[in-house]
Amino acid sequence: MKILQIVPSMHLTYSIWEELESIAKILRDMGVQTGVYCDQPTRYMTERGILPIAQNFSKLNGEDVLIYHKCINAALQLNLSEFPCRKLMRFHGCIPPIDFHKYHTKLEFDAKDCQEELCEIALEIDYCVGTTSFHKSMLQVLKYEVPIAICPPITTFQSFLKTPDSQILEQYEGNNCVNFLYAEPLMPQHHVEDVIQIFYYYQKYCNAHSRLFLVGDDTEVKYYTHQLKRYVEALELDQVIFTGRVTVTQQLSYFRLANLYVDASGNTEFCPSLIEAMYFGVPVLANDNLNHRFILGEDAYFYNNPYDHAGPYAELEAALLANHILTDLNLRREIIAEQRRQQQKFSYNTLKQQLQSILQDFLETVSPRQRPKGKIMY
Amino acid sequence: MEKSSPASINVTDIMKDIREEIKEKGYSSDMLSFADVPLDVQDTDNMARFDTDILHSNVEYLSHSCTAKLGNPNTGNPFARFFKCLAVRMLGFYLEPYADKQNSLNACTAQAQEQVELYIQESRMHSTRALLERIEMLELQQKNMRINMDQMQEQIRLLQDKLSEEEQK
Repeated sequence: MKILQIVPSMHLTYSIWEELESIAKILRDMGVQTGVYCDQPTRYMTERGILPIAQNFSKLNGEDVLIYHKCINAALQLNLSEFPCRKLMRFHGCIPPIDFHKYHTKLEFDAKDCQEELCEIALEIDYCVGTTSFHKSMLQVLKYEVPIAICPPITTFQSFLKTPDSQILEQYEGNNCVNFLYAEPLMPQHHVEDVIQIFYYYQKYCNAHSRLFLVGDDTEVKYYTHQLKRYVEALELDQVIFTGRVTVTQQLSYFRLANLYVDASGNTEFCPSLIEAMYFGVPVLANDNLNHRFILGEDAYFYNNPYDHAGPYAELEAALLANHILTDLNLRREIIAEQRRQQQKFSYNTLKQQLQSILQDFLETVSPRQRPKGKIMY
Repeated sequence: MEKSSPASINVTDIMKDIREEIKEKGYSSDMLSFADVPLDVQDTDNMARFDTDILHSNVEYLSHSCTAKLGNPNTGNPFARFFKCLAVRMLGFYLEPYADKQNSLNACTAQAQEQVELYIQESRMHSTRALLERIEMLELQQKNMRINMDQMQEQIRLLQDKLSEEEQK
């Protein structure tokens, strides 16, 4: 029996790369023959050992398993029904096309394709594994009548052990400035403008000696980034730093400098930077949605999502709550302690065991498929 | 702000304090919203856009390649070359006037494209786009300042009301 992973060729984020390697390692430890394949691998993918399906897939049979990584904003350029094996979908999330409507036509079309594919493959998939509880409920709404498990993305956290960039630390350390941090790609579904609003209120009403780091790739939807920069300029905010794409060591430096991590993103995908913030003991203030409750735990501190509750004071209250977190030592200690407890649930060993039990359940509940006669398959 | 399980620090109390603080100090949630920043219409799409580098490279190619010559062909084996030369000599008298006309048309086209490129360069220098952007930004900043002034006036009014109440007492 083989368990193979398959990914689309576009929009692979760093966390999905990490998970591909982690799952491959877990499968090899289980003694299973495995590999990572793609419909149209780029040169970068080929250099990292991802093989094209058509040329390298050996004869599949009904007992084999295909783990399809349903990535955000990307659809596979193949028909899954042509594979005569059992299929497990690793669901990483879907972005609503409306988020890209004003900024990027191609990404809007890609998001629509991704959503359509999610509906089309419902009958082909035998088992689903989402990354958060919101993804599970989303698949249930889409009438996926197969077992749906939850397993957060598996990472080894080895990158957290690297030495932070000393140049950045020297540049920003030591002047008693309060540093806010947001460390995800600047994309419309992450509502970075809400983070800027919270920082605006904080700087205006609480502490003018503060700084906001927006750390993340700002080139994918550059017109959204352009709008954000214009917004910052219009608000006459100083000390808002757009770092662009940074290396792992540079990102670690920003986490070392941060006093508070603010997240205003929606329910679209799992946010690995929240795990990083919890790991480095940076208190997190996030908006109240299912994804954040799943990652940070029910005991974390949230501010109301204005899109759900339409409260005009949401960002102002968030800014004042941020001030409480930064000035009240007891509150800060309690949040960090709770975050450290919550962060243990995402450790490599815990998630490895979780994934192994899910795979075991899959192999027991989903029977091997019959290979149709007379049809040439991969 | 939601916190479901009991904790040593009561979040409900913190939020109550925050809401009272907002009322007492007259903090306003009015601010320039993200939707107020007008979207640059030209920035909304990733379709083909004007590119000066592509224009310049094409104009350069036109300028260098606008002349075609009816020379002796030098491709193919010796027999093919012989027959091609023979064909050129026999038909040259007929083809050369057309080739000359085409060359002069090509030269005019190349010259016209160079003029177009120069016109684009000169008009971009005098472009008012940068000025329009600056105006837009100043208008937005002015709007933001107006909101701040309104808030300050509201706070002053509240303080004045408080002062007059205390004086009456």
